[in-house]
Amino acid sequence: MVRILATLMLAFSVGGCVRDGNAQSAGAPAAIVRDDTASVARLLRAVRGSDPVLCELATRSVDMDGWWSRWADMGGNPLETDSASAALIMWIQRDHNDPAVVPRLRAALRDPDACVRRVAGSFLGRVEHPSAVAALLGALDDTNADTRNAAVIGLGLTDKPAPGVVDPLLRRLRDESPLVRRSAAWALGSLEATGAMEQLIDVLQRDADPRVRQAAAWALGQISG
Amino acid sequence: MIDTLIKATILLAVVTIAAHVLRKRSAALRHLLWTLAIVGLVALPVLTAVVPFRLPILPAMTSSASPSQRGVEADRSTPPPIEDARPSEVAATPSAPLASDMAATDLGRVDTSSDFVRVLLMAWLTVFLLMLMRFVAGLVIVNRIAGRAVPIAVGDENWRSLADRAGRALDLKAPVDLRRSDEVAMPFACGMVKPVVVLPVSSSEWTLERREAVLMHEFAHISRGDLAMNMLSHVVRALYWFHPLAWLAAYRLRVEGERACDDAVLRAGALPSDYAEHLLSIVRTVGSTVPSVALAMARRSDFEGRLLAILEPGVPRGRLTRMRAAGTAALFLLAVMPLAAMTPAGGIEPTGVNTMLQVAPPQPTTTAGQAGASEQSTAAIAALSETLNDANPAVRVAAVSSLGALGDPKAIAALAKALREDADARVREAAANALGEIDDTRAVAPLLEVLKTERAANVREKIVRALGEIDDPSAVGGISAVVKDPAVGVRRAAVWALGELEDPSAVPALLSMVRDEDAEVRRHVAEALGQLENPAAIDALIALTRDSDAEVRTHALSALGNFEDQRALPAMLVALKDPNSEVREHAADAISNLDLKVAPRPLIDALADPNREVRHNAAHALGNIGDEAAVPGLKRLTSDSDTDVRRAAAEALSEIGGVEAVQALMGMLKDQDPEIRKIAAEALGKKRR
Repeated sequence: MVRILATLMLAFSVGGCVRDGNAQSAGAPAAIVRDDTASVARLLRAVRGSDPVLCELATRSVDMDGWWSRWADMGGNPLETDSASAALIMWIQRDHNDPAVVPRLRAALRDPDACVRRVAGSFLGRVEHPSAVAALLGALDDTNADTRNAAVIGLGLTDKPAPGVVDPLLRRLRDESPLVRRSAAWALGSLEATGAMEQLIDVLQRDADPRVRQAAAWALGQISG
Repeated sequence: MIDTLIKATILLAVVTIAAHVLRKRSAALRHLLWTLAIVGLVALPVLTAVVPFRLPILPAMTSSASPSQRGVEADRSTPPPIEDARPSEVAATPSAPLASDMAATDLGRVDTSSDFVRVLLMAWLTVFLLMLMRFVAGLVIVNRIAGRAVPIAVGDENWRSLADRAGRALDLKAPVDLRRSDEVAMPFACGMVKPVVVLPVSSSEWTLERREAVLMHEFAHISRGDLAMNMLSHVVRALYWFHPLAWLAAYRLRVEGERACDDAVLRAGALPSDYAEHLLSIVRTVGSTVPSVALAMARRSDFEGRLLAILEPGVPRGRLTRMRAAGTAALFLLAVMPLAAMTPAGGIEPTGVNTMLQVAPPQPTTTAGQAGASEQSTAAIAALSETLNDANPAVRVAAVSSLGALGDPKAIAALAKALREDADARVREAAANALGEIDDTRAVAPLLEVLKTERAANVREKIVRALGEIDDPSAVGGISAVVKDPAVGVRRAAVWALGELEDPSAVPALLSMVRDEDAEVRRHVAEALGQLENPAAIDALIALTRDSDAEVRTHALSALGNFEDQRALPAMLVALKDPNSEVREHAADAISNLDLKVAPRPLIDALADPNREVRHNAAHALGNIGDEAAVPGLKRLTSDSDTDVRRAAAEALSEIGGVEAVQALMGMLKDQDPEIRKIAAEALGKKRR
């Protein structure tokens, strides 16, 4: 599963439409992957035999059809309306603000499956409701690093920093897991949290993990730019 | 005097605004509103004397006439135009005059002793009398025309039965005197006590429908009492001749009255398009005009607006019931009462002025916070620059990109160093990008220097793009050196950047790329040459109109369009027959820029092109040229299936003019598209002026 997800992110970068939030779980820094023969071979290997939803996502990434909005005026992409996977992905891309989905997603943040946790975190970040933010904040101190990471990414995906979000994220910059630290740096940059600059500079200069430093460098460009 | 003036202004302003708010309602309602405004202007001074309460809210700047001047006015037996509303003179005022009023009155007495007011009064009186004389003269002329006109024989069954029908439909009490006169070209109504409708001699040749429409319209004036209101509005306009809003009120009253009568005709069942045609042919007949005292059926002022109102579906055309009209009038009176009751107050309290004008104490500027922010961002730049030594290339790429995003020239030195020295091509590429993003001329020298030696094509491409972003003419030489670069990406970037720089010295380099093997390069060459508008490029661009790539041909044609040089015409005419419709479209468009006087045959033929854009552009171009030879072709487009094409045809016909074009435009008054009806109506209204 993790392998498929990682390759999926690769597909995203090959398609040229990296969404900063998704690039986080990719192993290699997404921006530098090239469309050379080796990458193509890896992509094809990864999508062979994948399940329909992931295949649909991978195809869309390769189609460079990232935001799909240009089809909206024409009643949707004619190639994609006839499968359940396409319908599900179409639904994912819509705006979400129904708090009724929050309890289910809050539980999913602690699911044994890593991909479920990750998807739940990101989805909560896109549900425009205070209860969704509360669910994410509640998972920031979880004992499981994957859960903490999913919650941090979810918070980074929210529209603008809700009150009380920045300080808990700053604490995650010192998380024991480099994955969480990197996501926290990304989330703070994504939220353009001006108050985080000093600590991000500190991370850039001192963190041992290059991927954390990379995220901090990126975040500094977002915040002061 | 001045406070009555203020009140009149307030009244007129309120009615103007109300009429604008009600612009989507029926003309009859707006007509009532303007009627009330006119009546209100007369009633204001009277009401001011009668209203049993006072609202001391007007500014105290009364300058009232002295008793002696009032005497002068009385001697000349003209009504006091603007009744002075000094409370001290109102005998029936139950409340005691306010102290402030007294003060104001005293002030006014001092003022009136000056000659200035006397001069003003004389000026007002002179213009008033002149306008009154003109009004009376108009009345005499109209009455004389009506008197000399021959009554339509009682035996003329056609007219009689039509008149009876119209009279019944509009509840006319007395029969209307129908007359015919050879002195007028336009039907009109006049006479307050005994209404008369005077028809032109040509009316004997009118169709039944036109007769009915004209009678309905004129009878509607009579039944609505428009004749009396027209007289009153003339008098009021003379009284308030100095007030622009009074002129507006009189004008709008007339316009809305006409529209209300048009609505009456349409309510009676006339087809809008037919009625518009009747009106149009009446207004287009040449002949002497009638003085505005009489209500002529059609006048050229606001004629377009009227035509559009007639043709516009969905315009409410209801008449006002007596109840509603009375209700509106009562409401209006209620609103005017307090206006009349306003009296000068003792000036605005000084403290009040202070409170209003008081400026909040200047906030301590947030320089401290700003300094903090810039200090922080300086720290960020320092930390990111330092990171350019990070062992991990991905971190260096992120740092370089963030330095670009920050856009601060302080980062140029560090980025130039990365561009020169970093071992990883991806970092150098990102550095070139970042330097372009910072967009500062100080980066040009290092970029040009690295461009000469850089071995990675991707980096060279990004350098050239950055030079294009920075847009400094000193880069032309360096960029021109790479126009033969083996990497197509670099050449594409070079031609794009040269286009961005828009520097004449780039022309030789661009001309050397005309035969580049890459179509996108040639496309950009055409685009850039079009921007530079250097005459030396015309031959190269003409050659590009024969390029194997359709997009190159398209760009070459639109570039040639910029030159406005007729040497390019033959190539454009050939392109009108291009197999690619986009090429034909741009060819037609380019021709319209050439300032031709004679329409070329291939352009007229393009009106029959299978592609709608081509037809549209050809019509537009032919409108610009203005040659009547294009009219038959344009006439065929008036029934085109495409709305935009029909619009372009209507506009072109309106620009070309002439008898045949007018005929075609008349037909377009019935088009289903309101915009086209508007263009046609405007064009037809314009032709007579």
